[in-house]
Amino acid sequence: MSDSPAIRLEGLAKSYGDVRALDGVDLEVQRGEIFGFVGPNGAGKTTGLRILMDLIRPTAGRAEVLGLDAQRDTIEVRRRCGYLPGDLALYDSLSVDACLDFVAALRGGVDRRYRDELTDRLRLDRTRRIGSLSRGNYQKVGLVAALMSKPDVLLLDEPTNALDPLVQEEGEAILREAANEGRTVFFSSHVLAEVEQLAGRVAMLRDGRIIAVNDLAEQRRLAPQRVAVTFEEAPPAAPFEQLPDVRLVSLEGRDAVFETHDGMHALIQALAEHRVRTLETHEITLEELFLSYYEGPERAE
Amino acid sequence: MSASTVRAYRSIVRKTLRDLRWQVVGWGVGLAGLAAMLVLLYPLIAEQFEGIEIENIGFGEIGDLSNPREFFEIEFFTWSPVLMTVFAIIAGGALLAGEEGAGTLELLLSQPLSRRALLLGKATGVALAAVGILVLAGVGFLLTAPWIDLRGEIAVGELVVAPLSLLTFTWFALAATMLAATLGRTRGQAAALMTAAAFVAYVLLIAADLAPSLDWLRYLTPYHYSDAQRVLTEGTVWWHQGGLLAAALVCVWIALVRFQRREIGVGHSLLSIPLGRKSRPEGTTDSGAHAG
Repeated sequence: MSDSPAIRLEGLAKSYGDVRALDGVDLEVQRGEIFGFVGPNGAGKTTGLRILMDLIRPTAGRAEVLGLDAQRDTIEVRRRCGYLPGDLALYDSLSVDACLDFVAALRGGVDRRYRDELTDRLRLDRTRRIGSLSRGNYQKVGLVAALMSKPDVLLLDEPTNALDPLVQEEGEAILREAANEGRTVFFSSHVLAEVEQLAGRVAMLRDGRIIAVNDLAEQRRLAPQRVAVTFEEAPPAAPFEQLPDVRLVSLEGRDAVFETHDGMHALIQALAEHRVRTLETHEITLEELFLSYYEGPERAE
Repeated sequence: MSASTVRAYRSIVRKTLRDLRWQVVGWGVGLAGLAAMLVLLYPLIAEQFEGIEIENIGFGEIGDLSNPREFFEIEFFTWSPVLMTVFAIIAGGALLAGEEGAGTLELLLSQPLSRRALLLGKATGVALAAVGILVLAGVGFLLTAPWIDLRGEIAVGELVVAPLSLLTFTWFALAATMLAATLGRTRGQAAALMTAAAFVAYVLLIAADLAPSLDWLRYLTPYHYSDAQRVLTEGTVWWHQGGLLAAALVCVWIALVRFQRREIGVGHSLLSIPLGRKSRPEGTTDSGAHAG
C-alpha cells in the first residue's frame, strides 16, 4: 500500500439518470504530485472529487486513495485527505476560530501553530463571524480547514476561487510547500493560468471522459514557439509556407502567426527579407492547448 | 469504537446541543411559563369548577377541574405531546436535512467521521435537548406550586417530575422525524411528512373519542401511548413507555440504514450565491446531485 499511487481511478463512472457525469475515467496520480483536473462546467471534475470522499457512489468502476478503497475504507481515506468542496458551506453563526476548532475536533491531530500560521499567511481574521465574511475570506476558512491537519492528500475543488491575487499567490505557495513535503495535491480548476503555474501534470475532462493527460514540464519542453509578427507591408505567404519546421498558422494582411519548434533560425532569416514592425514570441499555453482539445467534438474524439 | 470516533461523536453531540440551545430555552421557558400560569390559575379554576366534570376531548376522559391531578392533566399534559411534536418536527428535521440543505453536511462528511457516528451524535444531542426542555417545564411547576394550595391531592415533587414522562414520546417523535428526513431530500419535505403523520395520528385520537365504535383507533396512534393524559391520575404504563422507546430506536436504526446508503446532495452555499442571493450552484440537479 505504501507504494500505491496517491489516487487511482479505474473505469470510474457516475450517472444521474440519463446524464453521465463520469464515463469510464482511468487515472493515476503519484504521491507528491500537484495534479490539475480541468474541464468546463459539467465535465465531471466535482463528481470525481465527491466520489473520492464517498459523498456520492460510483455507478461503475473503482476509486482508490493511497491504496485504500474510497467507498470501503471511507474513514481512513477521510483521515488522510483534506477536502475543500467546490460549493463550500460553513456554519455562519460561528466565528472563524470556533469553526476551525470544530473541524479540528472532528479530525484530531491538528497542530494549532500550523493552523494559526495558515490563517496568518492567508490574512484571515480569526475573530470574525463566518456569516460576515466576504466570499474570498469564506474560501480561506475552507482552505485552512482542508490544510490544517497536514493530510497526505489534498483534494481541492476550485481552491483559489474568489481569492484576491495576492492571497491566491500565497495559497499556491502553501500548496507547493505541501507537495515539497511529499503530500499530494489534486485540484480542480477552470483557471488555466493557475493550473499551468501550479500543476506538474494535468488531466483534461470533457463530458465525463479524460481526453488528455499532460505533463506540463514535458509539454513546455516539446511545445512549439508561437511567433506573432506585424509587417510594415503585407508579405506574400509562399516564402513562409516553404520554410522547414515552420508552420504558417495565419496571415491576414500585415499580421502573421507562425509556429515552430526547431525552425526559429530559418524563420528569422525569412523575416529579415521584410520590414517587421513588431514581433512577439511565446510558448503554447495550457489555455491554447485546452482550447485545441475543446474546439469541437471531432477534435476531442 | 476507537478513541477518534468517540472524540468526533462527542464533538457532534456538543455542536448539536449548541445549535439547539435557543430552542431548548425557548420551548423550555414556554412550557415552564404555561405550567406556572396554570398553577397560579388553579385556585381560581378549582373554586369555579367545584363539582363540575368536563370531557377531555381527544383523550376520552371526564375530568374534575377542581382536582389538581385532573386539572393539570387536562390543561397541561393533554397538550404537551402536541407541543413536543412541533418541537420534534422543527428540531429533528434540521438535524440532517437542515445540514444537507445548508451544504454543511459535506463539510462534516469530509472529516474522518462515520455516518453512523454523525447520525447517532445528532440523535444523542437532540435527545438531551428534549430532556432539557422537559426539565425546564418541571421548573415552572417547582417555582410556583409550593406557594399554591393543592388541596393535599398532589405533592409538588410529583408535579415537577411529571413532564419527564413525555420523554419517550418526544424521543419517538424526534426519531420519526429523523427517519422522515432520510426519506425526503429537504428539511421542508421531512417537516411536511411528519406534520401530515402527526395530524393523522391526532385525528385518529379524536375520532376514537367521539365515536365509541371507533374506539379501537386510539391504539393506532402514538399519542395514546404517551400516557400524558393519565400521568397524574394513573401513572405511566411502562410497556407504553418501553414500546415508544423501542419504536424510537427502530426509527433511528432505519434512518441510519437509509442515511448510510444515500448520496449527499450539494446545499445552497455562500459561494454559490451571486450578489448575496441564494441559488443552486451551477451543475447541480434538483436532486442535489452535482455534475460539474
